[in-house]
Amino acid sequence: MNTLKHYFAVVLFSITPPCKEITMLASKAMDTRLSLKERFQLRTHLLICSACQRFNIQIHTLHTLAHDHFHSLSDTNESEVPETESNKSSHIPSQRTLRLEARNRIQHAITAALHDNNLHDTKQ
Amino acid sequence: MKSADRTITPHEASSMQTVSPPEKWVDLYGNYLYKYALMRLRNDALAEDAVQETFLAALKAQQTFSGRSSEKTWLVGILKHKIIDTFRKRSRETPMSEAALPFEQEGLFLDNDHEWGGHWKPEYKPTDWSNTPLAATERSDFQRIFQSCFEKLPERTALAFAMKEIDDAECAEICAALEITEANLWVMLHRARMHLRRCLEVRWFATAKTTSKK
Repeated sequence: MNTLKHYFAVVLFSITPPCKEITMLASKAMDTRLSLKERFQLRTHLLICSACQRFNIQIHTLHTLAHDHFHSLSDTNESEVPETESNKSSHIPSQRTLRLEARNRIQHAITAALHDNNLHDTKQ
Repeated sequence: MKSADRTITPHEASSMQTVSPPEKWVDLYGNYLYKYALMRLRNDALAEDAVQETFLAALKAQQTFSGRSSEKTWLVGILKHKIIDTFRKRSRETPMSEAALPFEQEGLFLDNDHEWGGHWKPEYKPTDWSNTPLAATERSDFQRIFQSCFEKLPERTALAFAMKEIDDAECAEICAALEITEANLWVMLHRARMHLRRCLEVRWFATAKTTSKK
């Protein structure tokens, strides 16, 4: 029975591209609609190859992880958060906040632009 | 509308669908926009400049704010364009490296002269991640590892990946923004996924398994 399974797998492997190309197809399937031939190749290969099955699942997990990485923390501290040692040294953008200096510079630029607009408005 | 003299929370602002006083923008949206830009440009100074330019462009375009989207969405829409402008300018000034990634493909598969050429090398086959609860990925140590894996991506690849996987942008939109073909994009995203998957596997899923806490 096991030998039969083995031969079956060998036959299927021989009619589908190797794993290296299958990983490309699995990735491409997330970005576009595959051709009929590509879909056949991907599905057939996934039937028999546990490594590529995992790869296929994990790149979808990766999508979720990437999504969460940015979104989970991005809404938490919208308003003024004082610059602390911890958020200054953090390498995680979602936990970073504007440096105080940059914050003031931007605030100043807005105020200046508003002032210019007002002058402009009153002239009219 | 311009001279609302009480504090407006982002929630109120979005439900009112009007423009909050620009003096409040930095407090209301500064950090969010900064984080958004930083994830994509990966450079403090460039991200800060993009945020400033966004607010100044928004001031000029205030009349065009339709109120159909929330103010935040409107500002993010402007920021997206600023990020792409910054990226293009930068790619013209400094040649971008597309160097091989530390966790990338070539070495992962058997050579072509091998009987199973092009298939996974046994030691690089994707491992089982299911022993590691995904809930643990909410922890900051995972976020730190994710970030450090992400930072290894070349700039163009990183931006393409962020637009596709975080913003769920259409491929055509990404190609137009980065001035690449769809085939380029698919290869780029494939490289990014290969690298990130392997990087997380080695640095998180492989180690978290043996020391599984919580």
